[in-house]
Amino acid sequence: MRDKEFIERAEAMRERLYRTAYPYLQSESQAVDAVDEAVFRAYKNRRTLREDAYFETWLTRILINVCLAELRRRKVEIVTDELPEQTHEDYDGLPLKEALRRLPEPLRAVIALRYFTGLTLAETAAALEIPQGTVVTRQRRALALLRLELTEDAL
Amino acid sequence: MTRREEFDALALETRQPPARLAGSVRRAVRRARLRRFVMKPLAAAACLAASFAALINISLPFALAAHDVPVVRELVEMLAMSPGLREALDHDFVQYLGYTAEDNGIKFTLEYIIADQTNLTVFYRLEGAEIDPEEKRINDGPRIDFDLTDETGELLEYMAVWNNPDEKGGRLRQLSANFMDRIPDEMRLVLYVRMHTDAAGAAAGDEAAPMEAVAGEFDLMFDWEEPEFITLAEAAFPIRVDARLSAAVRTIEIGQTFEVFGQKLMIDRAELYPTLTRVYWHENPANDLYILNASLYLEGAEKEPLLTHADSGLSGYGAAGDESRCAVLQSAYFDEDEPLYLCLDRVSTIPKTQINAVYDPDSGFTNLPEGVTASAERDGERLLLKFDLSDAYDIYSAFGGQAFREDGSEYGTVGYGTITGENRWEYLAVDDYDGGRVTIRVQNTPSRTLSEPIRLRIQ
Repeated sequence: MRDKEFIERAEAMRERLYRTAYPYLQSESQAVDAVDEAVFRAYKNRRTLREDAYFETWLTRILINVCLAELRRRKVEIVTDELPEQTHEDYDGLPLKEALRRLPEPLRAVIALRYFTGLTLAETAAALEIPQGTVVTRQRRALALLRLELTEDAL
Repeated sequence: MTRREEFDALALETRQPPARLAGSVRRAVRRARLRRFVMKPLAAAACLAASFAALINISLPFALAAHDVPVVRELVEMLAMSPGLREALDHDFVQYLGYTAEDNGIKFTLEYIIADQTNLTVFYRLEGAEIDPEEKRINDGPRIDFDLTDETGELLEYMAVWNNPDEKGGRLRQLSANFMDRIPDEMRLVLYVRMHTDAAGAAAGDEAAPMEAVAGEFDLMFDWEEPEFITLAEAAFPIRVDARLSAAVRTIEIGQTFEVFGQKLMIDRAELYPTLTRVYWHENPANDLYILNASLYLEGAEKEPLLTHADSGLSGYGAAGDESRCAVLQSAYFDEDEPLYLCLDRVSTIPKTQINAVYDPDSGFTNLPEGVTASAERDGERLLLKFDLSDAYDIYSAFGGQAFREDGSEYGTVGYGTITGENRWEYLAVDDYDGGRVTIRVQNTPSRTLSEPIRLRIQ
């Protein structure tokens, strides 16, 4: 992919990427940092993208990995600080932001992509490299944990 | 707030991204482009210094016998237009080094040096230093710089006089350093590949490179600011000059006087080195005029070849009124048994009372050299001076950049001049202007040609 095209397509995705990162990191500045980092990594590896048509899902995937890495780093920091570990999650009793943050990562990814990024089932499946049926299952499970009724019009 | 209302609020937050997101892609792309070059330069340099400390220089005859002749042929071709260096090469005044180093994906190869007591010429290659053509704009670089230091890292005193950074790929490149005093036997060469930081953002939508303004109009010229450069890669090499080479010099005492346009020019001596000749001269203090420039050159018996300025591009040291000045010419070191003539065909002069032009903010310019008109403009902290040069000027600069405050201290300046086509001007930007009178030193006037060259046999 040529530089100019890379930049144009990444620019077009900018806000969508931010909407993906934000539910993970729940911080404006860290979400922007994650977008920066994802674009940086994508640019460095742009020549490895074989099909330009998959640019959007490829870049989204990179962003998710960046967010997960950041969360892992935070987890290490928390362990280091020896905070008490939650053994039971009452998602319904938490503010939504916190409940989202505590969702298992595979479920959180689906919610982030489906309801914040605005991806379709097929796009979410492609970005996460899982079957569409799995997306549906994880979506249902996550919404149940959150006790949140969301339909396609919530996108 | 219900869960659904919480969700709507959260979704709204993500749809109102911070302003910083707007520059995200450009920031990341710029960072990626720079990062390709700036990793681990210091560590690499340290490794290099250690790696090469034990290496010794190898003579060219050995290299010729043991290594690839095509490389030597390339060197010979490169020196086709440099008779002095070519002569040195033909007489084995060359050291083969063959050092290599790699930093940040750029490979440095130091192939040869040609050295004598006063001059060092280095031949090297760079591989991997090209910028992707898709990303390259005018003057994006890379720029090649170098430092020569002693073993402690102290910068040596020399004139970096020639460099050809535009060679492509792994082709042989050349740099030279001319030393006022004797060249050290051992030194350290540090090569830098640099790029100005604006280059990295080009394709991400930045404005055109500011360097383009240099070729443009007066106002653009002074809008231009020195771009900030980053070091992409660097490599350090030890250089040990073969004692056989650095010992070679022939001195010819002359003690003769040339009289030109009623002025006396005393020729003291010539020092002949394998790669260049230095002719030392001075003006008679009783002269009415300062001799700004003297076109000295060497000739053989048949008046061919004409041995003018040295291959280094350096024409000489010293300025009008100095006790001793030096013209740097082509080498005649190897023509020991041939007749050798020192010649002079042109000089430029100025009355001693006119060596300094003056700009006064209240009364304007006084004492400008003949054929020069001037204007001035205040631009913030700078004073912008524009000089129009008459058709008589055969050089693009009347002043050369030296400007002084009333207390005699020197200003920092940036200058640029041209005498191409209808453009015959010189610009000088005086930095941190204090608002007072500015004295500007004249360095060139139109040269006057002698009706018959002076020709003195010195050997």
